[in-house]
Amino acid sequence: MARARDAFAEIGLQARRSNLARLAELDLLWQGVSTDALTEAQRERGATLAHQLVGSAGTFGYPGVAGPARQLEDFFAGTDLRSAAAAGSSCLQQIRQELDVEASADLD
Amino acid sequence: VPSRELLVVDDDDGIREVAQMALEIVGGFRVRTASSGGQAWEMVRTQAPDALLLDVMMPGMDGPTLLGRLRADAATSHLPVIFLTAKIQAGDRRDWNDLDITGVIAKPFDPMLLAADISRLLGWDLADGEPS
Repeated sequence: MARARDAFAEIGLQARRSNLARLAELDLLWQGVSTDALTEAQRERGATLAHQLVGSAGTFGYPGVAGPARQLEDFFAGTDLRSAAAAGSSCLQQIRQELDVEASADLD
Repeated sequence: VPSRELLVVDDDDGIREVAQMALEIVGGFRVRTASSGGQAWEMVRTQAPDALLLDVMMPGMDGPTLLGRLRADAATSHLPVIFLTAKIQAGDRRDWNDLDITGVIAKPFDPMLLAADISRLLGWDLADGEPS
């Protein structure tokens, strides 16, 4: 089973990079929420990115990401996105902390 | 005796890779992968896998749409399908009540347990992928 764990760790490193990229894109999209500037396509993209974070981050060792990412997915899919601006920002901050973004600079 | 073959369908590279690794190394299954519903549809008809592990939300042809196609085709109508999904809230599950699926594996999942969970749902023996 050590072989499996080593293989998972290697894939997990790549997945972490992908998830950090998803978070960066979500940060950018969320900036458009407060000004109601998001297009329908951008909302769908946001929901997709958040959904992918739910599944991927938890699988690769960051189970605390699922909750706030699921909330974000619901916000993007909901009708009143602007009223969720503060709550969404809080979710993004939680995800940032869970993924330990500051410790990830060496991954870039 | 050849081991059972699973087709893993997911648009997320990391999920696809870790599921393949888990099912091959831990479960001893043969595994092929597809990154979209359309690709999976082609592969099912040419490769004849023993079961599908199918993501629900994918761009293009999503999991439920592919499932519908499989069930409508006599050659694949009885192919066991397990959903692999982060859509696990009560409302989502209600939507699947009428779908002919073997089971659901929730994301996030523990890769070390994936093969055992799938074997249990399919009634396969974990050691060699044969039916228990």
